[in-house]
Amino acid sequence: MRGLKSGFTHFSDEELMLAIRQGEKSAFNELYQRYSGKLYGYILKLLWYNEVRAQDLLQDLFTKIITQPHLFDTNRNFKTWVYTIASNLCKNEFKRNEVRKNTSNGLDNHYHVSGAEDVEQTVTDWEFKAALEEELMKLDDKHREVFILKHIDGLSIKEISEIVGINEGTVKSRLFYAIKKLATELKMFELVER
Amino acid sequence: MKQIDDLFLKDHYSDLTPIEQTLIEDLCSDEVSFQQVKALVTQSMDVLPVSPPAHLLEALNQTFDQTYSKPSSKGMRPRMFNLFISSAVAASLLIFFAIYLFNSTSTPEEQTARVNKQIERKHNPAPNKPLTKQKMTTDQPLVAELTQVIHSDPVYNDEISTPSDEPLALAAELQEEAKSIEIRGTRSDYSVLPSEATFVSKVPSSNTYQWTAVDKNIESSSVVIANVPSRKKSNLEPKRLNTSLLLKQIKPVY
Repeated sequence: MRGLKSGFTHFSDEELMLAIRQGEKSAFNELYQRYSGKLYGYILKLLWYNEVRAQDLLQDLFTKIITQPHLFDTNRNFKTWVYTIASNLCKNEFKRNEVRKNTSNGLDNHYHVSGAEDVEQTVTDWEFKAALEEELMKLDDKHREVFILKHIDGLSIKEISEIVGINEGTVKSRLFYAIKKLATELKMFELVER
Repeated sequence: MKQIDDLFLKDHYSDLTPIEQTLIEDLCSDEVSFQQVKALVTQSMDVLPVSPPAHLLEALNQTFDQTYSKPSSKGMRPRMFNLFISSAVAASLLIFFAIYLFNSTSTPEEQTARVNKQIERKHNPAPNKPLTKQKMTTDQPLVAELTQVIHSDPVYNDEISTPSDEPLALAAELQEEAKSIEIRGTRSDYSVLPSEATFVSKVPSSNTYQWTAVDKNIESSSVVIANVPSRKKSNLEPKRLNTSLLLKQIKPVY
């Protein structure tokens, strides 16, 4: 099986799922490498950086892929399917616990939040991204989710509409609102053309 | 409708058409704000990439091993179960087939004979044969056939109350029978016979009643008209006798 590990890199996501059904562990590892980071970041942002819960949900998600791979329809897009699961897991988490109340604004200690003293400085990538993270957390759930899916995870409008379960027009309007809000909040940064 | 993201792929705000500028009017209205939103949209893809902890993958690999090692041992059970079912079905089918073959091994001659019999039965259906008649005919001695004459007899009174009265009643009916026979002309000399000449005698050996009548043409003084099986005395329960059937079975002895 280890010999086949390199072979799975050329497999599509859907083909990897078929291989997982046959018990190919290497196929699972390949799929994990492709999606674990994106999904973890997605869940983490939706759960206001509650790492413990985000890891739990990510483990639940991949456990579902291992134990119930037959639930995936190979005619469907895997990315849409797996993000739909992640989205639903997060929504269930919202319902189960009021995560926002239990987390101290979510941000981990290692995240650098730009303070007022940084406004006058040239904005570095890191600072900008950190500021973006902070502003994202200020958005409400529905706008944050579509923004993350579109601009961080790189999904199309159609895919987002399938994942979130809303029509494409609503996705666009939510995206527009999120961009406008973030742009307004990030005006303090002297964004330069990079 | 062109996506707003695509508009921010252009380098400068001045590159946008007036229509496109109105589309993003709420987001940006000059070059500076355009660049800000552009940075937001394009750079957010790289925002703080995170990777899950390594222990998560280890735990998932363990789960994978547990999940896909079990089916190999469990998989035998369904396979064996299916094998058992299929063998049972095959055996039963074989038995049914063997039974079918065993039943259909008769020769073509036998089959044609069987078919001919069935056709014959259809074309010549047997007259109404009560089971009682068949039973009774086996008990009585066959002396002679007189059924053709008796067949067209008038309807008789079937009301016979007790078995003890049966011989007498039958004798009385036989008197009338003798007259009917005379009318048909089978035995013309029967008209000479007086009604009193007909009597019933018990024949111990054959356990039957014999009705005899004096026949002038025969040297012997009597002729056995019919033999009717006697009934057991213990059978005292009143029974309804079908005398017409009984009379049909009367056979004269010459």
